[in-house]
Amino acid sequence: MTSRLKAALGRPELRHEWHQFRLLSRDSVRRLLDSVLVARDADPMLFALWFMALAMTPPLLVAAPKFVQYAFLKKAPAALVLQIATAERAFFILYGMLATALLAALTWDALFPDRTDQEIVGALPVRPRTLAGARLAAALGVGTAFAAAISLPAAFIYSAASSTHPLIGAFPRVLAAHVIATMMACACTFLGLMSLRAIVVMCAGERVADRLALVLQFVTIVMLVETFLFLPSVLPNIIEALLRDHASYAWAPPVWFTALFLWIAEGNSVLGSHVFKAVSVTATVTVLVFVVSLLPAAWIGRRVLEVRSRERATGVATLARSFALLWVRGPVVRSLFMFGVSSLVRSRRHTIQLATYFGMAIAVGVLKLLPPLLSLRGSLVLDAPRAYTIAVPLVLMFFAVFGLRAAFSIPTELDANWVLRLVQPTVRESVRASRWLIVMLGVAPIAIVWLLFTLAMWPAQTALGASALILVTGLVLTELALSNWTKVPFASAHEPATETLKSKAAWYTTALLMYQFILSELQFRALQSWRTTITHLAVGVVLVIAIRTWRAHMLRSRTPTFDVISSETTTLNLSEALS
Amino acid sequence: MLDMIDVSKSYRGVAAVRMLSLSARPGQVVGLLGPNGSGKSTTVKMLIGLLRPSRGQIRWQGEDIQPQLLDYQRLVGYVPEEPRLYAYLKAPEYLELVGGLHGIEHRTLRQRINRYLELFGLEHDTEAPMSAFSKGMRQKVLLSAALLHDPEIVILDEPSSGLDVAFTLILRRLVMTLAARGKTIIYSSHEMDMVEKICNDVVILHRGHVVAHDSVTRLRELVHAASLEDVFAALAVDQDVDRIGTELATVAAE
Repeated sequence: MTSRLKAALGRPELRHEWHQFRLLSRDSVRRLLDSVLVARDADPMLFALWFMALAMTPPLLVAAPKFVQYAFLKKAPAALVLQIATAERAFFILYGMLATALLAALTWDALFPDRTDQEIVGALPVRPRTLAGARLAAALGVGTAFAAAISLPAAFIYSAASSTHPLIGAFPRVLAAHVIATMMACACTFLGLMSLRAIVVMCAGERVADRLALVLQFVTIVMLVETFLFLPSVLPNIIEALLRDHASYAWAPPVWFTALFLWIAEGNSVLGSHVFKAVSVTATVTVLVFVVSLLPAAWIGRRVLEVRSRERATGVATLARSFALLWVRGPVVRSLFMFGVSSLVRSRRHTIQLATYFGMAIAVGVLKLLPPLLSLRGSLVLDAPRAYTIAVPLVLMFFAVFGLRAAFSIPTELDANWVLRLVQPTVRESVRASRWLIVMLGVAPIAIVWLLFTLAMWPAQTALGASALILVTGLVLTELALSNWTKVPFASAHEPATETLKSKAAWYTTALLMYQFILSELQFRALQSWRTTITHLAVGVVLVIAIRTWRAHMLRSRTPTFDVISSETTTLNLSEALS
Repeated sequence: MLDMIDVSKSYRGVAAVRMLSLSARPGQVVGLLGPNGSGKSTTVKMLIGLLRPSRGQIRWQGEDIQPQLLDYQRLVGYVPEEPRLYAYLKAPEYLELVGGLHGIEHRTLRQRINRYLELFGLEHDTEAPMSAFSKGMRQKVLLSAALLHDPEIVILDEPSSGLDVAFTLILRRLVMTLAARGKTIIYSSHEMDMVEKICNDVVILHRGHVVAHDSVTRLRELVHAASLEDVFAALAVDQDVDRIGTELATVAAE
């Protein structure tokens, strides 16, 4: 058998195909890193910082403090120790799964051969299956490296900390359990999502798969933020319920891998029935990803070339056109507005960026809702104004306005901006177009949804007052966001991130906390009488007028910025601080 | 001999090419002409095996290419219409990838790459990613990639796009020399002057059909035209070019 295998591998065509596979795999890894993780105009240092934050948070913030915790738990009852250890292990597993899902969402496009691949490699003597196999191998390589980076540091520290307790297994065993359970959880997530993508592409096409990536990114960001900010405080309660009645949680994949962790670390079979699920589901998705990626490779390759691209988001563009004709005055402003809408809805990079902001908004927005929702502090009241409900649209507005402003800064096709350079719109026109874009795509939809919600839940007068307050708050925020805006949306150069990694985080965090906690309380109080509501609205309108007047004065002689002006970057550069 | 026999191609029921037949012998340069949307790109993509015909056959040396597609593709060198390449790679890296996929031994490949880069004047641009390249520079890389493995069939789709005058002249000499060495060459272009000078035979496509397939001289005689451009205008141009041109110049002034 071995000699036959050797003979088969010795065949020149198989050797050549293996050589092709290696070349394409190497190129695929580069492409994956270049086009998705380290985009051309992204700063590698910034990317490294984000990656370090993602990888080092579990070991440093969660695992390291456990040395002290387990020292204090030496004399605690066994049931309590088990509950705490299970909760912590569930956290590591859930975190790994979410981080891997985020990686899958970010690398969505580069996981499988696309049109460019077909046009470049398809013309060469390369089997479609070799190309698909190389892409798959690269994705698996990157996924494994990522999962290892996420899991291993925490595994070492946490195993060392927890295994000091006599009820917890020995260090090597806990370490092995941690690594196996978290890596398998990550693999199951990554391979499952890759299989899902391949199946969606086969059954519904690339467009639906694209939309799925946005949803996935949005969901993972929401869940990652919630996992960090909220889960540690409620997880022990969830685990207590799980240990009491684990059959009710049999649907949750983190439970399966937590069971696997417990089983390997201490031979604990309290959740034993789920161990088999962890192993069998991981094995199934592993086989599935090979089947759905390799078998239809030739068919998918041909289909990619034969399907003609269609216009994306036709509905939004038509709606925006009608809106612009009715409301936006001036041909230049209208053109810039329409260009902005089309760029935003048809550029994948920008929609992904907005999905990230939206995910953050939802995650942060519901933070005030969760304690009453989970009955940790009172109960959730929806049929009357409360500060925690008002906080939700405020936070959404905050992220929508600044998310859109951030998206405007990134050009779609920088080389094509010559047409705008020739026409040279004024800064005033550019600001007007940007304002309409933010109002139409961010402020107005949130205010309308909020109005519908409050009309359904609250008395009409209170609902109208609350919605007016949210609308005016959004307009003030829009004026603040555009106070020093001199670019043309989607057409001006984006400063390289190395130069622009600014120390504005503190400013944004303070502003966000003000919005979420102080302003929501203020608006809640303002809604107590119509007089205070009117006063708040009047203050908002005065602020809008004041900022617009000030900006008109400051920017009256400015021309739009198309190129990067390095002298404007005066804020602290964290990249340099690290070097 | 490369033959397309009664080839048709439809995209979701919409015909792009209908009952197309053409042939090209070794040593011959066949020009592929046609207005936008005439089916040129689809024809080229079928010729290189990227697309499979809905009907008909493409044959090389009398054999259908589909059952032995990989063997056929080993013989093909292709320059695409759009300068599609992995722009994050440097030119030598890209050529190493393509040459490696063709199975060229590393040392030979390095020598050939250096020679091509030198001849195309790219030897000082080997450290820059191709994303920073001009259209002409990318076209030179694509030409190098198409020739690296000394192909028997060379399919060029708008190869002079972005090239300056000197390199357009070099390209002309290159195509003629390849033909003299017995290569089969398909040259798709909108540049009548170039096609007239280098092609033995010309195929004119119009709405997915072949409307002419003969030598330039014979076509000129048949249509009583002074140049290939006039032949093309007579066979493949539906529009009233004078009227549209005049109106285009005055639309904004009305």
